[in-house]
Amino acid sequence: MDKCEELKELVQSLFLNGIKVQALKDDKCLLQIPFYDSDGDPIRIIVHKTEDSVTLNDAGAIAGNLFSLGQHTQDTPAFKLLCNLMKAYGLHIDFNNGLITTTVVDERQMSDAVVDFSKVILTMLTAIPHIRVEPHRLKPLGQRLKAKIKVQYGQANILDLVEHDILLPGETVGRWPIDFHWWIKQNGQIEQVYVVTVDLDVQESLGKAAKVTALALDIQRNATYDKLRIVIDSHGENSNASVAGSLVKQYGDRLKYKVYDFEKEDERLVFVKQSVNEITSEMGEPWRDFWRQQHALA
Amino acid sequence: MTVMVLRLPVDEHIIMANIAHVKVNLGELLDYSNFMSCNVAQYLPTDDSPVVDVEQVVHLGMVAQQVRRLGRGRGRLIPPQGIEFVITTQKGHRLHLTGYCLPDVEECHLALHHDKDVLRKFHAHDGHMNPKRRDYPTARLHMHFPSVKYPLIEKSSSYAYSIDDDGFFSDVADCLKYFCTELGVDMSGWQPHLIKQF
Repeated sequence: MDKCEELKELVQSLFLNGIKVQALKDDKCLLQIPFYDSDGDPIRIIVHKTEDSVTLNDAGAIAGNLFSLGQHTQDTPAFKLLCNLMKAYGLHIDFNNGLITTTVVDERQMSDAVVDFSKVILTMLTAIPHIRVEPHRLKPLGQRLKAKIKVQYGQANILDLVEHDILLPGETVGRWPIDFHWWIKQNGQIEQVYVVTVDLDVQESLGKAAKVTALALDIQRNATYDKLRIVIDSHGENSNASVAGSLVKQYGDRLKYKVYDFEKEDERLVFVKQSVNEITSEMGEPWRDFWRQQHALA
Repeated sequence: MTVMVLRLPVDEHIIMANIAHVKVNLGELLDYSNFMSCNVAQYLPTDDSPVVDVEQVVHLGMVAQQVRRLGRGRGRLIPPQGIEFVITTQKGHRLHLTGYCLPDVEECHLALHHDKDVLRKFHAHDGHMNPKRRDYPTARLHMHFPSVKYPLIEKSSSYAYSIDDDGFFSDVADCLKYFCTELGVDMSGWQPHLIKQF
């Protein structure tokens, strides 16, 4: 056997040894392709044959990878890449089951479909981990209230003029999550405005109150001129909610933050009106210029 | 001024022995005595080392708290049985634990994150390949950990050590118990969710 033949057999064995097929229940089979993801784990495809078609799916590996990296929401670069691949290869996202699927009606196109599907899975499981963006994680303080404030800001046409989801360095913890941010200029002095939302209708409402107070203490330590606004929300569904709300309000004067109860209409209106006034008036002009430049760069 | 250079005979065995000695000292320094199976230095080849920052965090006392149930919708792609926890360490670090199961292939994946870094991954599936095929094959239940040369998710592969059990899981709650036992995470107060039955 000459060297060329030996090389050919070696290369063939490299790929063929990596391909495995295993029968699963419910007329499905598992196809393992000869590539590994960024953990060194094999990449697999599930093939399901029905009477008139063959369906391929990724068993949830892509959704799991995106979820694990915190890039499972539609505003992240990885999700956008997935959507582009969906269009390019005619694939389908099954949001209910967390699967990426494709259907092959003509069995003569099966080999092309498997190769295309393998390309998509391989891209998503090997390239996405290198897109190092800040992961989208559920916020521990005020996920529901933040959505409510977004609606109010949207109606007041300032939603696009505020910065969302920033992190502030702290001493009590490494970094604190801030929901909304902008700055104002008063008497030649730049003052940062931070808004933090807290849902108190939860089991651990007292714990949340303690956390947000620690956040206020950290911010107070770092900067004198910054404004912190804590927006709380409770409907009385939790017996501890009122105690937690009082706890947050109690330290407001000493730690120089303002508390707004979003459930009370007058406080809600004051909070929204103050935000709109600061952002759209003369004192918010340098912020608006900065923010527009950021968007232009993006 | 005269500088004297003292040349010592270079012996590869001595260097390797010193590296091994340093690793033993690292293990002692971090006091792994309560979590011997988590002492990842014992699973690494002599030319690689554990990430000290990570080891210091994962050996602290940790308490898990589930943030809330995850809703499905067109705005987000949630894997089967997707769960997310916030983990607080005794020194105030905030970590995230994410997990999901792939019921068709009876696989389970859990990961412990600190911002963009992944500190540990617990997997229940076959066929994992360590870097350069060292200690191959790895058991079905295994724990991935970052090393200096092979940090998690940023390389072509990562090291994993086997966990001595043959469990086949289709439920993320079962794996969660293993993961939290291995890392000493306090899960008290958490109730597993009921799984949708068709």
